[in-house]
Amino acid sequence: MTEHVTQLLALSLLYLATVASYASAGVRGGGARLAWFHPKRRRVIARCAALVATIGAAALWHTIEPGPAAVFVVIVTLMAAGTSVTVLGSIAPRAVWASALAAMLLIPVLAFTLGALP
Amino acid sequence: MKLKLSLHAFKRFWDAHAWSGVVTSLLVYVMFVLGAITLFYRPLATWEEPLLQRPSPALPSLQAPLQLAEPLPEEFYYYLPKDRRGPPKIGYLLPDSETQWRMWWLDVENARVLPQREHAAAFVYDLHYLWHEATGFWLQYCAGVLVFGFLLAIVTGLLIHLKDLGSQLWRFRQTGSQRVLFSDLHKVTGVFGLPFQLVYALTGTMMALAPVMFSISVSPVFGGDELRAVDTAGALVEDPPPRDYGPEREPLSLDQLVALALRVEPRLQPESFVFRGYKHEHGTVDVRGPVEGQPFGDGLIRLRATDGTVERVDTADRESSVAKLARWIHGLHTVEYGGLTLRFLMFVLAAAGCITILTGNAVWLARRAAHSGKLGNILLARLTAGVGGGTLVAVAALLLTSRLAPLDWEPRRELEELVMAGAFLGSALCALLIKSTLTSWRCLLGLAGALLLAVPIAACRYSAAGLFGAGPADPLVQSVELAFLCAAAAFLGMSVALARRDSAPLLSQAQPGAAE
Repeated sequence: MTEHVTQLLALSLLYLATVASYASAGVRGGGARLAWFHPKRRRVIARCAALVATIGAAALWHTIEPGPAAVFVVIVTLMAAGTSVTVLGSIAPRAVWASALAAMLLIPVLAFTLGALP
Repeated sequence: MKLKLSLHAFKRFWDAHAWSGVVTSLLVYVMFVLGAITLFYRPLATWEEPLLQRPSPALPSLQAPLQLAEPLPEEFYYYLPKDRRGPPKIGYLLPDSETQWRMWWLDVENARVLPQREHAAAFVYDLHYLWHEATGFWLQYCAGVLVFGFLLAIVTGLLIHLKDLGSQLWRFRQTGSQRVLFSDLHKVTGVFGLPFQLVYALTGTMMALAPVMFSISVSPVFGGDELRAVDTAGALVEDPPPRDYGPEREPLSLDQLVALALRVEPRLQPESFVFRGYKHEHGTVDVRGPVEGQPFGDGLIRLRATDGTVERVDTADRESSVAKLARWIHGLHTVEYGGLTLRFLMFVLAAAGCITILTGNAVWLARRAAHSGKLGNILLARLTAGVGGGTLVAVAALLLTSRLAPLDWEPRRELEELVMAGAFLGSALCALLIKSTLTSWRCLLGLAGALLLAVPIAACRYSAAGLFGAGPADPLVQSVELAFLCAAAAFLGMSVALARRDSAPLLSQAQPGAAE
């Protein structure tokens, strides 16, 4: 149970990190909907948050996978999330933002559950 | 810092990327699709064999099941039940054969030996690196060379896009011409999947070519001494060359040998055993399995079977450099870490890899739209559709045949292989004859979806544990069938979407000069 919650929490963090990076990239297609990210300072904040989320996810995964395997898992997750977010961000942007919002809401719940678990 | 190549270098790398990509694309695509399915080898094997849908029997000892299968050959593999499912099994090459590998279930409860009846998952696994007992190793070596060509396409692709890597990373324009769409899709899936494709191409080449590299290095590196070569670099090859194991002699029981192995490495969790020179004085037993705390790859302890002398220990902290290399190559390629979650993510990347390959061909064709009437371009466009959709049809046909043919019918193995080969070749041939590639894609995706849709229903014939079965449910079997239904829905959805589009062929839709 603890392992599954940890995995889900790490995956949610990595997904959010990917969406934040995508949003701050200001690409054509999804850019118009991302006015909030345009000022440079906010872009920097988004990227820093993405970095912190990635490091946090790696630390979480390290509790269930030994050694370099945790790093590989994080890299693979970022690659898969990056591909999906970039393609879906153009085809169905609302789905991307809605799932990012869901992940954002899920993270504190999972963190609380993880803390409450023995 | 702008990493810009000279015009000369850019042109050369571009040509190398385009040609190596287009030459290797279709076979590498087949390997990618089958590899993506192979990621779920264990769930598929459980789904296809009802024996694995039952809990494992209690084994009186590790040695006891082996006695059922006596007399055994000099070399054989013995596998304990995995995930507490099904009986143990053994496998070995048939006498006087170098390629005909067969396996048997050791039914301890009923004291009988059952030949492996179903092998669809194993067939897909072997075909992933183009191995078949009829073709032997040469086709596997061709696969290694082919993947090396794909590696060249990846590296040159990286070099020509290096200067735009950052700016094009997140760019996918759905609006615009098909050429822009394919170009963006090729770059997005290619750039994000770059580490994945690079690691898989590299480890795949090494795994496919390891036996041939080993044999050609014996003379120049080890002075022709095969045994010394095996002792030094044997971890890279699955089957070491035959050797003289001396006169016949009764070995220690497997339980005694395992106890000795665990004394050497208590963290080892034995899962399988390789017997070489069975019942001979110098015979050995490899005790293999995961080691607690070891990132990936199995640990191995080799003991002399007659007295339990430890001959080799390959675990993370005691292995040779070659064994470490072999463990990393194998562990990375076969995803021996991260669990099922990572396999799903790898599946997404493998699917993205397939899109990279297919869109690469589409970009090649779009750039040559002015010469679309050339035979080579017509063949490439039609074969891309034929092989692209035909591989999916072939896999769906294989799965459906495996549920329709009687389980204990001996020629079912040959029938499954013939159906798969027939479906693949038939699809490719049809696509070659159909003028519109869009029509080919639509028909093949629709056919693959329809065949897959029937698989869970046909599966009720042998197992009641599935989605439509009446017996007690098995979550793993149900998950596999749910995956089939999702894949079927996706294929049928794509087919319907294509049907709604203009049925003009891809070549005529590409607008030259639309991409940057």
